[in-house]
Amino acid sequence: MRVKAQITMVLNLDKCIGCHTCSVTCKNTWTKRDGVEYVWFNNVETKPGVGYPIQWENQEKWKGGWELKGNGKLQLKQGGKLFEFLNIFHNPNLPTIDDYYEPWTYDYEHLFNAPKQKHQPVARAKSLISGEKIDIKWGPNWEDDLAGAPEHAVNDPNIQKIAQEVRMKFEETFFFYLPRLCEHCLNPACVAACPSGALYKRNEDGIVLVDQDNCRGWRYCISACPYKKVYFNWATQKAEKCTFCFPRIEAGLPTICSETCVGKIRYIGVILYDPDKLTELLNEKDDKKLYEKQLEIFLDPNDPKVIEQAKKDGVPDNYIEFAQKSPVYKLMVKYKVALSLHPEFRTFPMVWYVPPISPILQLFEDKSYDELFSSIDEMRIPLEYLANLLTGGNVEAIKGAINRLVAVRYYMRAKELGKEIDTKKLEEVGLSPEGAEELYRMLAIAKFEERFVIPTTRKEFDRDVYKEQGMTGFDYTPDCDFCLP
Amino acid sequence: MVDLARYGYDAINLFFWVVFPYIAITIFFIGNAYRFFAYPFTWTSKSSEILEKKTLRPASLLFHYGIILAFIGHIIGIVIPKSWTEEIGLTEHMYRMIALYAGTFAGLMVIAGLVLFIYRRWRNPRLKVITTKMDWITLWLLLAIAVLGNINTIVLQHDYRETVAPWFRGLWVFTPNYTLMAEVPFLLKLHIFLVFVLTAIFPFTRLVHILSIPLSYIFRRPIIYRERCP
Repeated sequence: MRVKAQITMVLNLDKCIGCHTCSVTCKNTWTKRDGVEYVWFNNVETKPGVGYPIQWENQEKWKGGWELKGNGKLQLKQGGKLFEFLNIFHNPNLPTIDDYYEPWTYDYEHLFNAPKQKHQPVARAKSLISGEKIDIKWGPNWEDDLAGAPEHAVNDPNIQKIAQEVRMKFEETFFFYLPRLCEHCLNPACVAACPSGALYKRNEDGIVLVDQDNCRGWRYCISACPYKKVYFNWATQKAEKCTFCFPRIEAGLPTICSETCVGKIRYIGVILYDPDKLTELLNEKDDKKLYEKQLEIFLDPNDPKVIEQAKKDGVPDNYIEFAQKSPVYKLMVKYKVALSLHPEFRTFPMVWYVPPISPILQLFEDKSYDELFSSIDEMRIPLEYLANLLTGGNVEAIKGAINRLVAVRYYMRAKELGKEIDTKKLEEVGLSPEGAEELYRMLAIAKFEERFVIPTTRKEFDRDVYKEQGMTGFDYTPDCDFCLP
Repeated sequence: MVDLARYGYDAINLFFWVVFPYIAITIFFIGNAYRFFAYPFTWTSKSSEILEKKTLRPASLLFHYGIILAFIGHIIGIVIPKSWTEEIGLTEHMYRMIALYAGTFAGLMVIAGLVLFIYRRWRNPRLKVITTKMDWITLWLLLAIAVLGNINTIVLQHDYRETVAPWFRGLWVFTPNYTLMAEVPFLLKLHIFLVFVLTAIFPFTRLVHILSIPLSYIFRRPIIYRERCP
C-alpha cells in the first residue's frame, strides 16, 4: 500500500439552479484572453443535451479516454504511441473550433458611427477570431433549459443508450444542469497522451496542469481527454486547461467556481487513495462494475495503518488531518451519494456528482415510506439516463444513492413534523439516524468551512529562510546560491 | 591593389560557400539555443488544426511525409559519400534512377503540400489572423527551395555527388573546398543558398518544432507526477 492525497470536488446536482455564475467567474479569472475566447474551463450544460463541445460524450466519434484491449491492457482509445507518431501532422480526432462554437462580440461601434439613415443602426455579431460579420448558429450554452431540445437533445449519447424511447414531448420532458470542469483524473488520458510530457499530475494534491514552456502544441491531450476539458489556445498555439485554481487551493481557498457558487452546491476536500491499486481496478472488464470498483481505491483517513503509511509516503500532517474532516470523503465513500461522471472512460475522474432527484417534492405528501421508494423507479429523470451519465450504466448504484437522499428527506420531514420515525427504513438504505442527520446537514446547511476543507500548502521550505534573514526589504537574489557572501 | 584571384581566391564563391554558410549555421545554433532557454513559451509547432482541419489533412500529410522522404534522400545523396554507397553495390545508374523517381515523388509531395498550405492561409479568414509575416516568408521560401530542388532533380540532373556533396561534408569538418562549387549550375546554387537562408532564419520561425521531435515519448511512463514548483 502507498498513500497519495488528491484534492477532490463533489457537486450536488440536486441543488444546481443553472445560473452559470461558476462559468462566468471562471472565465473572468482564467480565460478572458486572446485565443481562449471560446474556452470555458467550467461550463454548465443542460442535460439531456449534446453539450460543449457537441457530443463530447460520444467516444465513438471523439476517441477520448482509455479502452481495455483484448489482452487486458489499458490503451488510449485514440491509439497507442505508434498512432501518435504517425498522425502527429494531422490529428484525426481533434475537434475544430466549430465543434465548440465560434466566439463573437457585437459591433457596438457601429451604433455610434453609423451615418444618418432611415433605419436604426444595429450592432451585428462579429467573430472574435477573424473579425468578420457572422450569423450566430451555435453557442456554449445554446441548449440552455432545453432550448431546441426536440432537435438536439435526442443526440445526447446518454439518451441514445437508453433502451426505452425518450420522447421530447413537453409533458414528459425532464432536465437538470451539469456543471463541468476538468476532472483532475487519477489516470489522466491527457497526461498519458502528451508526446512532450508537458502535462503532469502534481504529486502533492493531484492537480493536473500543463507546463506552458514544455507544450509543443502536438494536440493529443485535447483529443485524448474524454471530457474535452483540455483546450487549444489558437493564439499561443498551446494547450490550456482548468488549473483547479491552484494558487487559491495552495492558500487554503476554494476554486473560484466553488467560492462563487450561488446554490452552494460544491464541496472540496482531500481524499487519500492507494495508487498501486489503480491498474487493477481500471482493468475491470465490466463498465457497470467500474463505479463500485473505484470506491475500493480510497483509504480510510482514520485508519491508524493508513495514517502511518501516509506519513511514510510524505503526505503532510495537515493533509491527513483535513482528510479526516473531508466532506468529499463522506459524500463519496461513507454515504455513497456522490457518483463519478462516466467511469467507463476509465480515466478515474475526481470531480464527483450527487445525482438530482427530480421534482419529487409532491411525492412526499401523504405517502408511506414504501410507496415513496417504489415511486423512485418512475422518477421524471429516467434512472437509466442518470446511470449512463454517472455510473457507467449501473442503475442499482444510482438507485442506492437516490434512495439514501430520499430517505434523508423523509427522515428529516418526519422529525420536523413530529411524526413517527421508522429507523428500520433508514437502515435498509444503509444509514443510521446520526448518519442521516450528518448527511442532511452537509447537503442542506453546510457552511463555508464545512463545504471547503482545504489544507494550505506548506511553503516554508521553498526558500532557505536562513539565508534570507536580515534581508527584509532588500531582496536581492535569495534563490541564488553563489552570489551571496 | 592586390589581385586576389591571382592567389587562387575567388571572393564570390568564398562568400557564398564558406562565409555565408558558417554565418547561417552559427545563427542557427546560437539562435535556437537562445530562443529555447530564453523564450521557451514561444517554442511550439504553431498548429492551426483547431481553426481549419479539412484542407490541412492533405496539406500537412503530403508536406510532412514528403519532406521526411526528401530529407532521407538528401542524407543518402549528400551526407553519405559516393564510395560508400558503391561499396554496398549501388551503381551510379541505380542511384540516379532512385534519385530521379523517389526524389521527384517526394519533391512533388512537398510542393503539393506547400501549395495547399499557402492556399488555406490565403483563403481562410481565421487563418489569416494567426498567420504572421514570418510564416509567409517561411512558406514561400520552402516553396522556392522545393521547386528549385525539383528542377534540379528532373531537368538539370547535375552530378552533385562529385561537387556539392564533398563541399558540404567539408563544411562540417571545417575544410570546405568552395572551388568545387564553381561549376555547379546556377539553379542548384540558388537552391543551396536559399537553404542556408532558411537555416539562418530558422530560429525565428515556427520551424523550431522540428527540433522537438518527441522521441522521449517512446520510453516514457504514461502518467507523469511532478512536485509542486516553489
